[in-house]
Amino acid sequence: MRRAKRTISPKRYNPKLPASAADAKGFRGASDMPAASVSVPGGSMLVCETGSWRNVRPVFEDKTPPCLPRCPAGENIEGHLDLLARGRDAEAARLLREDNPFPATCGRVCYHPCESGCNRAEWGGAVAIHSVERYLGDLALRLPAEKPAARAGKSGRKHRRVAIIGAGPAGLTCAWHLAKRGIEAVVFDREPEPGGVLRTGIPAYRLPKDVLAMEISRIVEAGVELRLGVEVGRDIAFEDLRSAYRAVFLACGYHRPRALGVPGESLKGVEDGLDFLRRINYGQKVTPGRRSVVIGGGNTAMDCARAALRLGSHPLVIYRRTRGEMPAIPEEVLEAEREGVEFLFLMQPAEVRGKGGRVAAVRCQRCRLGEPDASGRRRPVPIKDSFQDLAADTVLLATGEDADLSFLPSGWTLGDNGAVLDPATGHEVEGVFAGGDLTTSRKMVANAVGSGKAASWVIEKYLSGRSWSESLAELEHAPTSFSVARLEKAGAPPRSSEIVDATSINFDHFPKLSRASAGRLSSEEAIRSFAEVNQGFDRATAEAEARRCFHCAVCSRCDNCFVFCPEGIVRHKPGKACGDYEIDLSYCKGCGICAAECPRGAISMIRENR
Amino acid sequence: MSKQKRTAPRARAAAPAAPAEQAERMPSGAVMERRLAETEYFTPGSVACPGCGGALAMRHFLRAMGPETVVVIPACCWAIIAGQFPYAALTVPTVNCLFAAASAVASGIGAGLRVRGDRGARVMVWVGDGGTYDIGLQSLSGALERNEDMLYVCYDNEAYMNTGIQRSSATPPGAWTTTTPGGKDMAKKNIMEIITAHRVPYAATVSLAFPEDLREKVKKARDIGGARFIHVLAPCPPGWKCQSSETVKLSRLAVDTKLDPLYEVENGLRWRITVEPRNLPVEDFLSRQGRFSNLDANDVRRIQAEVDRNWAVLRRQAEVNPL
Repeated sequence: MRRAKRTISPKRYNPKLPASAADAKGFRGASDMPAASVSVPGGSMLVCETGSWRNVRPVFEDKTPPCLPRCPAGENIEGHLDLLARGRDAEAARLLREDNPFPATCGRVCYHPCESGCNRAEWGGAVAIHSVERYLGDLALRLPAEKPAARAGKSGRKHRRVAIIGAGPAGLTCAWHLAKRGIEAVVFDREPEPGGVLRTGIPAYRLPKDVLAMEISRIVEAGVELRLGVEVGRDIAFEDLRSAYRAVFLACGYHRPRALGVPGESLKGVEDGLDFLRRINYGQKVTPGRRSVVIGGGNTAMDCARAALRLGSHPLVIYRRTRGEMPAIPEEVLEAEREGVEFLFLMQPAEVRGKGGRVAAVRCQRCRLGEPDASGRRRPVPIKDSFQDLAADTVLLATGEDADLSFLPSGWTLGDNGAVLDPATGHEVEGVFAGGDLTTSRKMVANAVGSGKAASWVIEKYLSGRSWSESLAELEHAPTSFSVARLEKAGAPPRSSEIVDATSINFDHFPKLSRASAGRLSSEEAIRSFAEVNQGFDRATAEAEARRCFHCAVCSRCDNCFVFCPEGIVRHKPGKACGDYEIDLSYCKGCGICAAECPRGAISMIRENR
Repeated sequence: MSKQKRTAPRARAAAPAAPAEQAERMPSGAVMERRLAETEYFTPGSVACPGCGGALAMRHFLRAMGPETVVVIPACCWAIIAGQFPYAALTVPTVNCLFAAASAVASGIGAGLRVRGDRGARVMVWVGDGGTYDIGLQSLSGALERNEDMLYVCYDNEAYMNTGIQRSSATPPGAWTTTTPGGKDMAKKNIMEIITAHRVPYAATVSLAFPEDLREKVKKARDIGGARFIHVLAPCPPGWKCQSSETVKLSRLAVDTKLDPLYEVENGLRWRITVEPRNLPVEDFLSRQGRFSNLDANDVRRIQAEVDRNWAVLRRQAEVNPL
C-alpha cells in the first residue's frame, strides 16, 4: 500500500534532458515493481527505441523558392519579403540593396519574371513582388548610404583599379559591388550624366529622374568614381585604359540604331526613337506634330508612343507581328492602349514618303505570320500588293539597336558568358569582361544589373590573385541569378537547389488572399504631363503583400512540425538561428506528418538505407 | 459520496503555470501562431503505429490537462500504445481497467481522491470508440447520470482497430472493415446526442487539425466540475487504409466536409459551432482512404446527403439554442 502511494505521485517527463534508453531504468526484480497496475517513474517506454521501425526519415532542408532563380538581378526575394512581413522594413531594404543597387529603379521598370513562377498564383494571385520592391527601393533611398570599404594602399593601387565603360545599370552595378569590396572602380561614359538608358531612354512617367539621381548618388557615395563626357575610342584609347587599369568591364550597351532600310528614311521628321526620348529626357523642346507613327514593338516603341502622347501628338504604333509576339512588357502595352495609343499589327513600313523634304506619310505593307524564326517567334511575311499609306508628321524608329564596339581592337568577339575572345591568340582576353546589353539574352535593366554583379564577382576573383580562366570559372558558382548575401554570408543556412513547385505547398495553412494592386493616375490625368503614372504601395499594402508570401521551402519556424508530431519528438533547439528544430531519430517512426503539414515544403522525407 | 449538483460550469483553482517558453521564434509567414511549449507528459517510445491519430490526441490532451491528471484506460488501442506493465509512455498516473468498466473505475478514483482531500487532481477517462459507443456505454451513461467528476474522452478511430479492424457502432456507413467486407450498411451512432441527452455540464468535439480549438476546449473542460465529454476523431492509417502522413490532413478534411463538425454544448442545452467548415464535398475525405475504395457515385451521394442533413440539424440547434 505504501509503495502504491509513492508511485502514484506524478513526475514530469522533461524533454530538455537527453531522452534516451540510457535514462530509463529497468527493474531488477518483482520486488521493484509497483503493487498496482499504474505507471511508475523509471518504468519508462523510453527503453523502446521505435526509430528502428522507420524506413523514411524527415530532414529539414531549405530549398529554392521559384521566384529566386527567375530574378535576373539575383535578389533574395523571399528574404526581404520575410523581413518586411515582420515589420523590419529597413533591414528588408538593406538586404535588397545588397544584391541590387537599383531597387527603386527596378521596382518601376523591371519586367518581373519572378512573379510568373510564384506558387501563390492559384491562391489569390502571385505576390506583387515588383511593387514591394519599389516600396523597399524608395525606403532604401532614405537610409544612410553604405560606407566605402577600406582600400589598398597607394603602392598596390593599379592592381586594385578597374575601368568600367558605360555608366548604365550594368556598369554602375559592377562598380558598386567592387567599391563595396574595397576595389577602386572608375566609370567612363560619353553622356554628360550617368545612368545610361535609364537616364536617356526611359521617360519620367515610368522612372522619375530624381529617383534615378538619388539612386546613383548612393552608388557614388559608396566610393565609385565617375568620368562623364568621356568617350572611349575618341577621348581616350581603349589600350590606354587597359594599361592603366588591371581590369576593364565593357558595359556600353546597345546604342547604335538599326537602319530601317527603306526609301525616304533620311527625310526630315524621321527620327531614331532613342534619340527622341533622349532629347525629352534632357529637357529639350520636342514637337512631334499631330500624328506620330512609331515603328516597332519593344519597350522603346511603347516609351516613344506614350511620350509623344504627352507632347500632344496622336501616336500610332506599327508592328509587323501580332500583339503576342511584342517584346515590350505586357503592362506597358496595356497602359499605352489605355492612354489612347493606337496600334496596327501585321504591318511593316515599305517607304517613307515626303513632301517638300519633310515626312508626310508612311507607306506600309500588310504581313501574315509565317514559320517561326531563330527567336521562336513567327516570322512576318509581307503580302503582295497590300500597300496602305498612313499620314505622319513624325516617324519614330524603335526597331532595335546594336552595339558600337568600334573602339575595341579589330576581331575581338564577345562570348555569351561575358568573356572576350581574341582570335589572334585564340584565348580569352585577360582582364576584359563584357556585360549588360552586350551579353544578356534579354536587354532589360534587371538583366544588366545581374550581369554587372557577375562581372564584379569575376573581376574581384581576378584581382585577388587568381588566373583569368579560374576567375571566369567562378561564373559557374555564381551565375547571373545569385544572391551575394547568400554567397558571402557565413552561417547562412545551406539551401538545396531544388526548386519547389505548388505541389510542395500545403495550401490548407494559407488563407486565400487577393493580390494588391498599386494605384495609378487616370489615363486622362496621366497624358497631361510626365508625372509618374504608377503610384506604388504604401507601407500597409506593402507589408500585407509581403505577408502573402508562402516562403516556399524556407523554414519560418511556424511550429507545425512540432505541433503535429504524434510522438512529440520534434523539439525546439535552444538558440535563435534558423533550423530551430531537431528530430529525435531514436524514436522517429517516419510517419511523414511533419513533412505533410509543413506549409512550405521545408521538410523532405528521405529513404533510410538499412 | 457527496452528490454534485448539476450546475453551470464553474471554475476550479487555477492550474499550475506553464513553464516559460524555450526560445524566441519568428512565426512570420505562418498562418497559425502556436506558441505551445509546455512540458510533454507522453514520452517517445510508445508502440503506437506511425501516424497514429490517437497518439497525437493523447499528446495534446495531456499538454492541456497538465501533470495533475490521472488517466484511466480500458481495453482499447491505448492499452497497448502506453506499453506493457510495468513500463509506460505516460508520465502521469495511468490505470488500466476492463473494457466495460472505464467510467465506473473513474468514478471510484474520483471518490478516492475526494476522500483523501485531493481537490487538484483530475480524472481523464481515455476510451476508444468501441469502449464508448458499444461496450462501455452503460457504465458511461451511469456515470454521466451521476454527474461524476471526470473528463471522458472518446478517441474515435471508427472501428476496433487493435484487435484487427472489426466494425463498431462508430464505423461510418460504407466503410470496409474485416467484419463488413462489402462496406457497413448502418449509419454511425450519434454519440454526441446520446451524451447531451444526459444534460452534462460540458460536451464538445475537437479535431487534431485544429490544435488551438482543441486546446481551448480541453482547458475549459478541465476546469469545469462534474461530467465532461470530449469526442476526437482519431485517423488510423492501418484501419482506414490511408497514408500515415495524412492523419492531420484527413482530420482537417473531416471538419471541412462537415463529417466531423466542431462544436461545444453546455448543460446539454446551449450549442455553439466553433469552427466554420470550408464546406468541401465528402468525396475529398472519402477518396483518400482505402476503406472507402468500393464506394460508387451513388454511395457517395447518399453519404453526402446524410452529412448535409446532420449538419442542418446541428446548425439549427446552434441557432435555436445558442451558447
